[in-house]
Amino acid sequence: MPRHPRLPRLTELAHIVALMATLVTAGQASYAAPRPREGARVIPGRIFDDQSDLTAKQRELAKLREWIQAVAEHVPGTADRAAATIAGWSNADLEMIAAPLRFYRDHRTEAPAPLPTDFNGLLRRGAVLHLDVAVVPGVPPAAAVGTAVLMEADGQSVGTGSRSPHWTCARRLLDLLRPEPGRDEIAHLWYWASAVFLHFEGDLAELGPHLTRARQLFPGSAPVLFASGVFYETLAAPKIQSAAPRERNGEPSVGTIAANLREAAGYLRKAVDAEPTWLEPRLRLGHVLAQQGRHEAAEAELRVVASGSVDPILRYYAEMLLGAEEQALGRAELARECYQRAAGLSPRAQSPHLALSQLARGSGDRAGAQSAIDAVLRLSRNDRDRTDPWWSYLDVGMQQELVEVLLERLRASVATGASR
Amino acid sequence: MTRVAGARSISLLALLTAAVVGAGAADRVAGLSASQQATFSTRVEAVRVDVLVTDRGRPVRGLAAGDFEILDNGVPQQVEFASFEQIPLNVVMVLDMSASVVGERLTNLRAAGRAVLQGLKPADQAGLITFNEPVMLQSRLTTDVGPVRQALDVATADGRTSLIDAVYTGMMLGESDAGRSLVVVFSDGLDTSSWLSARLVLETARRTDVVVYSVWVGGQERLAFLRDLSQYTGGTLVEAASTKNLDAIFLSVLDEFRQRYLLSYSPRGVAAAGWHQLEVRVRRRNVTIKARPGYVVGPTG
Repeated sequence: MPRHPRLPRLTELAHIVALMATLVTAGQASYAAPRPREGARVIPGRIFDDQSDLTAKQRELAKLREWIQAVAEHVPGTADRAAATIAGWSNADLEMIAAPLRFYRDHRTEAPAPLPTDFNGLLRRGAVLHLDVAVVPGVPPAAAVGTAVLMEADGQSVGTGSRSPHWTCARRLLDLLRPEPGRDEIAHLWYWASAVFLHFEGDLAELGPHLTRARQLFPGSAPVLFASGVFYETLAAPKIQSAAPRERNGEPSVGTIAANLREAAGYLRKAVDAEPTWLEPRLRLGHVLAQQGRHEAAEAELRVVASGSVDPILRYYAEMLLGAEEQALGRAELARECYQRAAGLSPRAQSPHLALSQLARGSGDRAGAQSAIDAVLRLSRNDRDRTDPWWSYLDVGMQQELVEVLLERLRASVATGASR
Repeated sequence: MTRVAGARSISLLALLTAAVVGAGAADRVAGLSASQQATFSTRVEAVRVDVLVTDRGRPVRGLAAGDFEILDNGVPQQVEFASFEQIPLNVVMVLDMSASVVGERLTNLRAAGRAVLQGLKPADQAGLITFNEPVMLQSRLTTDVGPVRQALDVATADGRTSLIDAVYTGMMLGESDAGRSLVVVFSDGLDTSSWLSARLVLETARRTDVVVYSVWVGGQERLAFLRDLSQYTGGTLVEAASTKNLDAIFLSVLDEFRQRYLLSYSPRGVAAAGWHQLEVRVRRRNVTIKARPGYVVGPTG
């Protein structure tokens, strides 16, 4: 099934929904880095106070050196040997990295020989390496496994998968940035690019903790607030609600529609306030308000987008959603005009004609309803010729183009070492 | 369902007359499609109601207009016409071709569609709509079922599910001809890509005289839309555990629809616009009656 050319179809249209409450809990919270104990002896690679676990500590140090070498060798964005090496690591291997790095950050003189002097640069490039392991085609599947998640396709549960622990690993690395990760521009870009990728892939299970940490670090970031709003807007969608497992009280594990819409409206409002000229958060705010039944408020937001956007896809959405709000407010003529403009913006889309037909039928105009539905019936019977931006609405804030642009910018940034 | 002024009611009268005198396919109301004739008015010329009368599960035959009582908003109406199994049917199949309908399900669905086509009489018409994300007209209403069968044979399953959009389109296709229309909806999935809302399409269902039978294979919690749709149009929701006997289910739907009476009356003593609650009774008989619960006339707020 072809989708809008700007929004290529995902391989299997699968959204990942957390089995349990893991979806909305911060992945970072459970991690407690070991601290040097008083009187403990320190050797390169790790602290320990007992010669008996020397072998384990040496193994840990060897792993750290291997990791540092992989980070140094990795060409960002490629499925190279370094990425393959790290992809082959187990969960236990991945667990060995952050704690000693934290220690060496604070005890530079104890650091092993290969530790670069640009410690922040090492952490950023490390985060990109783990991102590439999760993202770049051609990298072998990760050996490490994360928490179980439910796979959803077309509103139905279609099996289980697992979260990639490389995302958590990368976030832990960025937590080590000094003076603080929340002031690091590349860390911000990493969170933004990753959020866009995770949304585009439909990996909602990972996106939840990812955005939770992103908001802790960058509470005023419009992209992070926007991504959070879209995340909750998506969780409120029927297909996710339907596929999500039920809690004991019968509610979906992803939260109720009302709760998710409330969250979405809150974050989208903040994103609009943070970046008033950015129209996409406003569009989605309008849609969320409409779903909450706040039609006057929704209409006001959508009208701004419809009149201000030059992007044809964004305008299409704005006209369609605005038309629905005018219809809900009993202004049939204004609704009709909106739907007609949307039809002009996307001539092969069925939604505007369906809306026009239903609008006419709802007013008792059978001839008008038949005339409008004829436009749908005349559309091609070939799947490949059919397109309607509406079918991609829940993906569109996170376009593939944007994924690529952000990832490219991120990789270029770590290559040059640029940061605030 | 509302019958509109002028030509629309004339076409109904023509249809009913043709049926009474046993006219065949040649006398169908060709050229009298609603889209060509209808002009909106809140004045209701005639109302028709499709009614299934059963006694301990078996259809009751031989009833005449005088055997029926209809209350429109509580006001008794004069039933002017009652027809049983004489009027040609328009059967619109609206079939889910999303990704979940693959393999055996698709094979069984095609077989079920073919069974319906085989069960049609020469004067009956068939139409076919398939849907995943796009709603696709495979065939308009036609007595020539060959192309419909061909379309069924080549239909493939992929993509997401625009069930609500497709149901609306099916009802409109049913309304495009002045005949007696049955829409048979098959789906096994939740709507994931429609523009139209369930609420608006159900509102349309309360205006149409098309009868919708829904066949559903899937979980219980997703039934609300199809259940309401069938209830509002006086149809039936058939829940199936699998598609194994889908052909028999489709045929039973067609058979049940043929066992229905088509009643007609001109409303008197009731306000034209708004919701009309309908109550249909059979005099002096302890029978079970299935009909749509009412209809809407005029614009809604």
